[in-house]
Amino acid sequence: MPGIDDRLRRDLERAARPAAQDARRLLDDVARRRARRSTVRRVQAGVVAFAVAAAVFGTFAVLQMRASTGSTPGESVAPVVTATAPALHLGFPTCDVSSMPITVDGVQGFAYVAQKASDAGCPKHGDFVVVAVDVDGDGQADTSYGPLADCYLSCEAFAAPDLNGDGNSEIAVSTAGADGYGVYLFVVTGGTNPSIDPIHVSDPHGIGTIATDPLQLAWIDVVTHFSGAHCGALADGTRSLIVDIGDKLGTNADVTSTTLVLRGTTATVLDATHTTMPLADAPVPKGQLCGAPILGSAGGFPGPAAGSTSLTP
Amino acid sequence: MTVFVRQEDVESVLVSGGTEATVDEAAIRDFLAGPFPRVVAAVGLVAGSKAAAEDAVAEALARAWERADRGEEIRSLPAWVTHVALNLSRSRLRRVRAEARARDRMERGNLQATPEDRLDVQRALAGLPRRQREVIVLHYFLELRVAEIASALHVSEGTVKSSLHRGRHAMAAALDEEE
Repeated sequence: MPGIDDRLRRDLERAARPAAQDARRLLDDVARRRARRSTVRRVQAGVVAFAVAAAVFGTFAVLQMRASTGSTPGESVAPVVTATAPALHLGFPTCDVSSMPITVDGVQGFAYVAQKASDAGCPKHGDFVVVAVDVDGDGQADTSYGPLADCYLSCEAFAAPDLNGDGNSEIAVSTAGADGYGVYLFVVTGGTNPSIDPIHVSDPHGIGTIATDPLQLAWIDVVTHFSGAHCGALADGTRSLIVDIGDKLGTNADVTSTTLVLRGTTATVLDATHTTMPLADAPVPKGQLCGAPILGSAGGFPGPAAGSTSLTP
Repeated sequence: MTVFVRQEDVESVLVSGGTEATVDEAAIRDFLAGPFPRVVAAVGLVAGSKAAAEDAVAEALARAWERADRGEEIRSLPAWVTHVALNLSRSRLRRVRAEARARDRMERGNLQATPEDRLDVQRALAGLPRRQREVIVLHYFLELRVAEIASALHVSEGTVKSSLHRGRHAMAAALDEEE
């Protein structure tokens, strides 16, 4: 029997099997990306120049105001950053807690995203982040799920939309990415044995363009592309979740939309479309998901954070 | 078998820096005609998605080209692209967009959809932590040495050695192989 070294070399070689490439297409693709990056860089340079000018002008204006009135500037709307954590009773100390109100079985509770603290304090990176829920609003977590994947930079409470119209909140948790946010969705079940579960995707016809295990969204709006989601209604009135991915092409947008319906913890792909439409009509993400406001550092999306996530119930 | 970087070039290209090469259209063409498929394959093994890997490598190439336009020096295009593409492929968001593009290309007939080999080694690899997966692929597939892997991943040689040891041990256990 060959050793592990030979086996790895042989099987990785077989597994990789580089596909034949169209060199012309690849070069065109790389050239397009290079041109796009150059454009974005010029736009960003302009934005930075404008921001610097605005900051200088704003500082001057505030100093003038203080000098004339003696008052202090208004309260900042930036998110509050603190490691102070409510006692969630998860069996381990927590830190970097964000929370948001949810509704389960008609009762207002809270959802929390929290990091497991160590003896040395709050870890710099999110190695062990959980999402927890307090379904009866007594201030103690009733159940939790985790550790969550991809919380290396941070994860926080994002929104509490009702994705299937049953009156109960689903939980959206965000992780910051290079050009926006990744959003993970979870279902909360109430009753005497509460649970929180990731949403799995069933795509029987293989037509969806979505990330799965658990169901994920990208929440992005940049110069070149966008990604988000919104709710719709099927012919029988059932609420649906539509996940959108789009490329901005001047005044138009090239949009791929995947329609899902959520039953229990499974979201089934019903339809997928690929259309070109005016950019003004495109489903570019705003500050809410299915009517639920977006919280935390993503609040006020796509602009700077306009709201803060509550850190205590 | 195609070798990622010729061993005799390694000391000057990957580890100690060596002379910088101009990244222009000719260099991009050479890369596409040479190391591109193998780098895509390596990133695909780590990321678990060929579409995401192709997207990440193309994006890394574009970034290299655009940086060179601005006068920045890139000493080894293959090493730089591999490092950046591995970082880019961490993003699941990118994977979603890449797979949308791949689907679009398949619909246009420009990409041959080949059946995936569901080999045990892929499943075992997918079960490893990211760092161990990267080290295993760079060592066994791209045939890089410890110093080269450390340079490509911007980590210490000690980190590479421990990741390689743990990854190899885990792979041997998962594949029921002797170490």
